[in-house]
Amino acid sequence: MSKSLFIGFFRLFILFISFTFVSHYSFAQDLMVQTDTVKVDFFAIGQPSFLKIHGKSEQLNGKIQIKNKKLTASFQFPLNTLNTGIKLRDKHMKKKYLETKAHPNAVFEVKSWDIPNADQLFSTGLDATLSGTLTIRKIPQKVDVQLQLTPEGKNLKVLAKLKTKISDFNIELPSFMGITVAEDIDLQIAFDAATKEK
Amino acid sequence: MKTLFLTLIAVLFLPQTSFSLPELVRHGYTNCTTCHHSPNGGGIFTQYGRALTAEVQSTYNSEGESDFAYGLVKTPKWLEMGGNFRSIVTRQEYPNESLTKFIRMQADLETALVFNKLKIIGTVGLQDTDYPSDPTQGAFFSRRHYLLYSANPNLTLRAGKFMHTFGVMQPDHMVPTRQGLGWNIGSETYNLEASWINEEWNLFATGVFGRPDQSTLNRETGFSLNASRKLSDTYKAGLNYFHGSENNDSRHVIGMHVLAGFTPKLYLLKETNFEQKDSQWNLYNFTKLGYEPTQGLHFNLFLGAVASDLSSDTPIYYIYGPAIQYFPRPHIDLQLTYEMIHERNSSFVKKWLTLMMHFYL
Repeated sequence: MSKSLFIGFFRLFILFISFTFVSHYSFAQDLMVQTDTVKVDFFAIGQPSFLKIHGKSEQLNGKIQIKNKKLTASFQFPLNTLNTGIKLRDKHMKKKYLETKAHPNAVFEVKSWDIPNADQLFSTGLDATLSGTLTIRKIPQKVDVQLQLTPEGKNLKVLAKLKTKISDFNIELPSFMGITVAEDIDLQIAFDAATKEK
Repeated sequence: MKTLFLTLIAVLFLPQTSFSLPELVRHGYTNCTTCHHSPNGGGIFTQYGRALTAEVQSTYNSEGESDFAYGLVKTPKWLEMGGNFRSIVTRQEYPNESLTKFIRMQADLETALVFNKLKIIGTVGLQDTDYPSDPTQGAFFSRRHYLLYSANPNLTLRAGKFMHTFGVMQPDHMVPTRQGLGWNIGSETYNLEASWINEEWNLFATGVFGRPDQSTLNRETGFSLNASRKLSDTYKAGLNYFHGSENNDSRHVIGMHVLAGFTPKLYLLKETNFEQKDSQWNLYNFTKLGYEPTQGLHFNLFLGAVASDLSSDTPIYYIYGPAIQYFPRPHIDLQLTYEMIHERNSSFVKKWLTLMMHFYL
C-alpha cells in the first residue's frame, strides 16, 4: 500500500469519525404530543367553603425538540375546552375571566433549556425543574415547571406540574354564585410524546 | 320496653325535613358550606348551592330556574330566602292491620340576613305534629334560628336553635342513626357551636343546652365533638362523640361515618353509632347505596339496624328496602320508598310504602 493511499484512507477515516461525532451532537429529535393521551388538570380553591375546583381538558397541541443537548418546546392549550363539571360556571369562567373568544389559547414555551444528563434521557428519563413562559390573554409570565420525562422506547411520557397565580395574567379573581377562587392555581399536564426523527 | 322500641321503629324512615345532600360527595363536594349557610349543612342554600340544584342535581333546568321563587322575587344581596313544603302519603302494613296516611310534614320559610362576617338565619312555619289533638298543631313556630359569625375563613361560631352536628347530617333524619338516637324532626335544641373547616378537615365542638324555652320538650343537655376528614376528592370519613344528660340519666354516643363517591354515579353513605345508656350498649347503624343512571334519578338501597342491648339476647331490628328519588327540575324532589322492618328470629315484618313530595322555593 502506497503512502498516499494510506493517507487517503486515514483522511477518510478521520472524516468519517468527525462526521459521526458531529452528527451525534447535532442530531435533532422532534417529539410530538400524542393528542389521544393528553390530560390537562387545574386545581383551585374556592372560598368561603374551601371548595376544590377541578378543571379538566384532554386537548393540547405542540412539540418538544431535542437538539445539541438542549430542549425547546412549544404548546398551545385551547382554553375553551376546560370543563369544571358545572356548565354555568364554565361559561362564566370562559366568557368573563378567560375571555376565550378574544384569547382562545394558553401558550407555553421553553427556549433552549440545557438538559441535565442528556445522554441518558432515553434510558433513565429525567426529573428536573425548568423555566418557561406561560402566556394567557397575551400576557407572558415566567413559570417554573416540575418536569418528569419517562422513556418508553423512542417516545417519552411527559408529566409537568406548575403553580401560577390568576392575577399574574391580569385576571380579576373569579367569583361565581358567592364562591371566589383563590389566587393560586395548580396545573398538571400529562401526555405521551412520540419521536419524529429528522 | 319492646312496645317502646316498636313505636320507635314504627316511625323510622319518614323522609327529610332539612334538605341537604351529602351524596354530592360523589362530585367532590365534601364541605356542607359550599351549598348551605349552616356549617353542618341543611337549610337555606347559598347562591352556589342553588346553582348546583340545577347544574348537577336536576334532570332538566333552564337558566335562572333554580333562583329563589324561580327568580320572580328579587332580593337584595344581603337577603337570601328559601322555603320547604313537604308532605308524604304512606301505606303502612302491620301484621294485623294496615292504614293509609297523608301527612303534611313541613311548611317553612327560611331567611338569611348576610352582613359580611355575620349572618342571621331563621325559619318560620306551621307546626305539624301529626297529632290533631296536640295544642301546638297548626301553630306558627321556628324550627331553626341562629347567629353565625365567621371569625376567619376557617373558624365559625354559631349560637341559637339548630340541630347539633353528629355523623352524616342527611335529610332523612328519621333513619336509625337520627331518630333512633332522639335526633328527629323537632328535636333541634339551643346550642353554642364552634366549627373549624379547611380543605381537608371539618371540626365541630358544640355545647347543647336543650330547650330552656319549653321545659316539656327535649331537655337533654350536653356536648358533642366531631372530626371528619376528606380522604380524597370524593371520600370523607369522620368520628363523632356526644354526651347528654337529662334529669338523672345520662348517655354517651360514639360513632363513625363514611361518605364515599366511588364514581360520579355511584355512592355510599354509612354511619354506625354506639350508645351507652342505663349500663347497656345500643347500636344504631345505617347504610345507603345509591346509583344515579341519569342526572336527577337515583336508585337507592338502604339497610339499617337497631339493637337495644348488645350484651343480651334482645331483638335486633333490620330496616331495609329500595327507594327511588327523582329531581326532575329545580325546586322539585320526589321520593318513593318501600321499606321493611324485620325483627331477627321473629316473623314480625312491617311494610311501608311512602311517597314523599317536596317543593323548595
